[in-house]
Amino acid sequence: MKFDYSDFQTKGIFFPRFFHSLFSIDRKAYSELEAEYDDFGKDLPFALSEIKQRTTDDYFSKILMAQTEAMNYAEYVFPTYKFIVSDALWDDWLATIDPHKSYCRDHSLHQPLTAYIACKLLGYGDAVQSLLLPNNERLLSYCARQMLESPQMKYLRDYFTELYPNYVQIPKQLYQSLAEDVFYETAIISSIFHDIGYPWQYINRLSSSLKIADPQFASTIGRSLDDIFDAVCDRLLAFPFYGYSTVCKAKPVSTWKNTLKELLDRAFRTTHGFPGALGFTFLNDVVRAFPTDMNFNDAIFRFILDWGAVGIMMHDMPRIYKGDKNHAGVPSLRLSFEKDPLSSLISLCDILEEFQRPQARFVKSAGVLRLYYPDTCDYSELTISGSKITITYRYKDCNIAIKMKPIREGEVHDYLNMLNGYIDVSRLGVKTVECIVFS
Amino acid sequence: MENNLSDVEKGKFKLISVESRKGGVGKTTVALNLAKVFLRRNFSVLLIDCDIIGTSISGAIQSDFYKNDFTELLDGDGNTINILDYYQKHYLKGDDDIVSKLNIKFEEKDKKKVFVLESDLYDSKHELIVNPTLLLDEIHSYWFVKMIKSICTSFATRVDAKCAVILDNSPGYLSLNAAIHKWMTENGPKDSKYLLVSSIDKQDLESNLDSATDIKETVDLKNRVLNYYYAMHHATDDDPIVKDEDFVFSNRRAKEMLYQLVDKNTSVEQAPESEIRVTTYLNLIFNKVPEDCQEDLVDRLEQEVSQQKAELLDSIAKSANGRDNLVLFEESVSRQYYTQFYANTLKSKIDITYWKTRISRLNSQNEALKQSDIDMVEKVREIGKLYVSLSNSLTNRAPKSIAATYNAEWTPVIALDRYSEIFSSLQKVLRNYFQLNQDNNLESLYRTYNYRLWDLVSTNKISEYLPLLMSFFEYTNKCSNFHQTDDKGNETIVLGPMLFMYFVESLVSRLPRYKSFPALLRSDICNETSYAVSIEDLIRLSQGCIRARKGGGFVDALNPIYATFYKRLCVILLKTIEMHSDFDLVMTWIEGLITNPNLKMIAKGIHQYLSKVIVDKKEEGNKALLILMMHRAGGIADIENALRSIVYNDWSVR
Repeated sequence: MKFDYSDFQTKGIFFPRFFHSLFSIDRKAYSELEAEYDDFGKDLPFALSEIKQRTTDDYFSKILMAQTEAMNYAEYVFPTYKFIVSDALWDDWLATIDPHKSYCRDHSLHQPLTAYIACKLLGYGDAVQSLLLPNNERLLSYCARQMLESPQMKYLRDYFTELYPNYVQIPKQLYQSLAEDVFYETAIISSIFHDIGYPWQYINRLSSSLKIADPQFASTIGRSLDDIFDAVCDRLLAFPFYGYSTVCKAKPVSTWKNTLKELLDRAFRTTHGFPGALGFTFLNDVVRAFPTDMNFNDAIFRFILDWGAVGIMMHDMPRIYKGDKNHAGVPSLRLSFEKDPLSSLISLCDILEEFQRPQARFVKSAGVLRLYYPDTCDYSELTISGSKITITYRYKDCNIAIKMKPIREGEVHDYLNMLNGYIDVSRLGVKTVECIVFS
Repeated sequence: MENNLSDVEKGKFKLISVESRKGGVGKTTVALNLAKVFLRRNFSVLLIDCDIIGTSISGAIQSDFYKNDFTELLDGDGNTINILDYYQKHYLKGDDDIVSKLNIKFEEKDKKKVFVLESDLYDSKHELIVNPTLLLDEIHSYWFVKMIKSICTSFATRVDAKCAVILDNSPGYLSLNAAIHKWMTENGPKDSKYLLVSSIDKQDLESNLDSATDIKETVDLKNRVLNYYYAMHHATDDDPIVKDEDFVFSNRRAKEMLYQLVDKNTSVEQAPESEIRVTTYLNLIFNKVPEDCQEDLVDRLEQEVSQQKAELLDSIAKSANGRDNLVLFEESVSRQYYTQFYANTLKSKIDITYWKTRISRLNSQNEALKQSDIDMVEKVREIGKLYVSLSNSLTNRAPKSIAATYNAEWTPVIALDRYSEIFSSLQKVLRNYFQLNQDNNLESLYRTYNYRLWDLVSTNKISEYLPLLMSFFEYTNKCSNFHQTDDKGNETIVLGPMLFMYFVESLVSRLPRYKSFPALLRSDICNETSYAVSIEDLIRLSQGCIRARKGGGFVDALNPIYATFYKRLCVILLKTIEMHSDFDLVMTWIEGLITNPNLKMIAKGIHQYLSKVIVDKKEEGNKALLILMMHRAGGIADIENALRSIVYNDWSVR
């Protein structure tokens, strides 16, 4: 399966919107935020114009296109996105223009492209069209089946049952397709906002431009570890830290609480996934008023949002999984499609999305420093042959390919090696993973 | 917890949505007359103005045509209710019980009248009440419709009679329209009806036919989803459900419908009734059809629309028999939001740009207002360019149907682009005029006269430009004669009325048939090559007329500003006169506004002249010169008759 920009342009992303997400929005809370944003928020056109000034027309049009898609979808599933999108874009150009940085920030384009990859891998929502796995099952069907049957995903089923005890009213014949739809919707939400944690790291600027009065939110962005703990310990977001099991508070508090706190602290300080997931969760919480006794639609959407936050968080957890010189690794964080198909998919898409990523290049001529944004990668490809997965990156330039080869191979190895890669793909029938970089 | 829009109490009232993709086709006229038809059948009728950027119904119902049958809803203090005002001030703050909150009283003496609930983006001081993105924002549209729903339910409960609620919608297909459609489709064809109004303009027609196709698919989908859901509930291990092979469940709308059924735990004891026919949903009215255009119309339809629409065309042809100016056919119209997906996105983002800029300027009053209005013009241009660039790039990647949508005239993308030039030129004239009057504050002018960019999107709002016309008269005329002698005894021409008269004259008497008035109108509207007459051609022709009369060089040499103004005036008046149903109202209104006796006389003269020219020509049967019919007398009756036929016969309302 090949992924490139022209394919994205042609086919776009199929945004599902299968479930009503607007019912649960508290119009008072939302309109208050909207009024605050009108008074204090950064002007979106201004943020766009800043980017436009600093990028080429071609690159800017791509950003505009991608963010138009994202904003349109967000209007339905994540309406508060519009209050931070200016900051997200602002962050992009701030990071992009700095000649001292060795990378450029391109999340306003990268995120929708990642969503496109997720969309394509999942057959644009149609299981029959989704990726054929080595075990001869389609990716979307497989993920949905894991949600329904995998012993390692009991935690997820328990969580849903808690949200919607009346689940027995759902016709059984619908289970598989419902699970597929939930998975697809969650995957698109999660992937299109998976790097939202980057601007979240600039939390002070964000909080000053969006003076959200909600004390819970304010305390969270104030980075109080206790507050963060209190906010997430009962949410699905914490389950990966519990080893993907239903929280068992019967264990001695000293055992799980301190461990969780330490992990949360590290996650907050060293990843962008966790702050992103927190931001996503709280920006939804501040405007949503889910009733205690939820109906099907509310329960499903709450579930999607909570699970989506997990995907956002876990896509950036490999360093904590592997550990470093000061911290031991946390093996229970290793992903698999049987345990957390969503995070596995988002992580996979993230490493596949290499095409169109610009590499800022500063060229000084006649005393003027000029900035260019050439994209170096033509396409990426994921092929499955027998029990072998091959991930291919094709670069436009031979020298760049040579330079990028060890980086790409290292990343694929870190994520997918059969022994201890971040994503365990062995149960999919995969025995070998190969990375090819060429020009 | 918010409820689904479809939770309205079924059977309590008839809900009719009057709509069209294009402004100026007569939606409000149809809505008003439809309300009268229901009133005559002893229904309690509530007419809600959902066209928040368009025609004000309150203006229309003060005319002789309607004033005896309509009354505006008042709050407890006796003030006219502006529904948007309530929405912003109360509903968004969490108040649910709108009727109690506003202390709406349905007075006994007015029970024989249609209650009108007005909406206006601006308050009496011309201040913006609510950000117009309400129309475009999915959440706000959802809430707005939910609020309307609660009003309707409350109304039906209070009046204790057969009820009908009529919605007069905005042109185009914005989020608000989509939310209303969703409500209606979910409500079912027994209680909800769509009444589509179309002109015979090609793109108007195309978009309506597309809509008809869409709703047909939606209704069909609903039937199949219901059947599937029923089968699913009654499946057993021995008798599992058989998937409908043709029915791909990756269809977003189908799934949404299906999960709604699950959400409501819909009763499945009985199999769904026989398929709901789309024709039970609604009718389409062709309005403003030239008298001599019937056969030609059918020919055009057959030639121009695609093969897939043959069935609908059949209906048109069959229904056309025996009905004079109004071609009716029984098809329902809705356009689900996917096809407008990109258009809505773009529009909302761009409009946010525009309005945010505008509002921030208003907020920071003096600083911004002192600046030249050039930045406003630039902003409009910039928006226009952005639109075009975005729409171009989207068109390249969009499915064909969406690409076609972009090329359709009614799309605000195109309209905005097209009108931005008009807008900027108009500004120049205005600036010049107001500078002479020691007032160079253009923003203040906009606010005073309510000249909104939005108005230009809807041809209905053209009437609001007539104060400008009158200002122009005031500026150029200090006497009642068309010629004026200055202190030195030189005779000068009084420009305003002269231009106006020349303009009218050029329309009705100088042009060959194929370049006649309606053809010119349509050339502006659909830019079709067969008409091949641009507005520029019209200007040239009418200028030629003036030159011929005055020895040439009149407009251009005298003052380029007049030339520009004249050009714009032509466009404005073309559209004003196109809306012949509003013509009398507008002119009467203008006459009422003017206090200066001389100007009043001029206005009256213009009114009479236009009436004479248009009506006389029509009565003389000189259709080659003027083929548009006025609604003034027979036209309105035609509409009423047609609507009565629809209501009684097609909808079986007794």
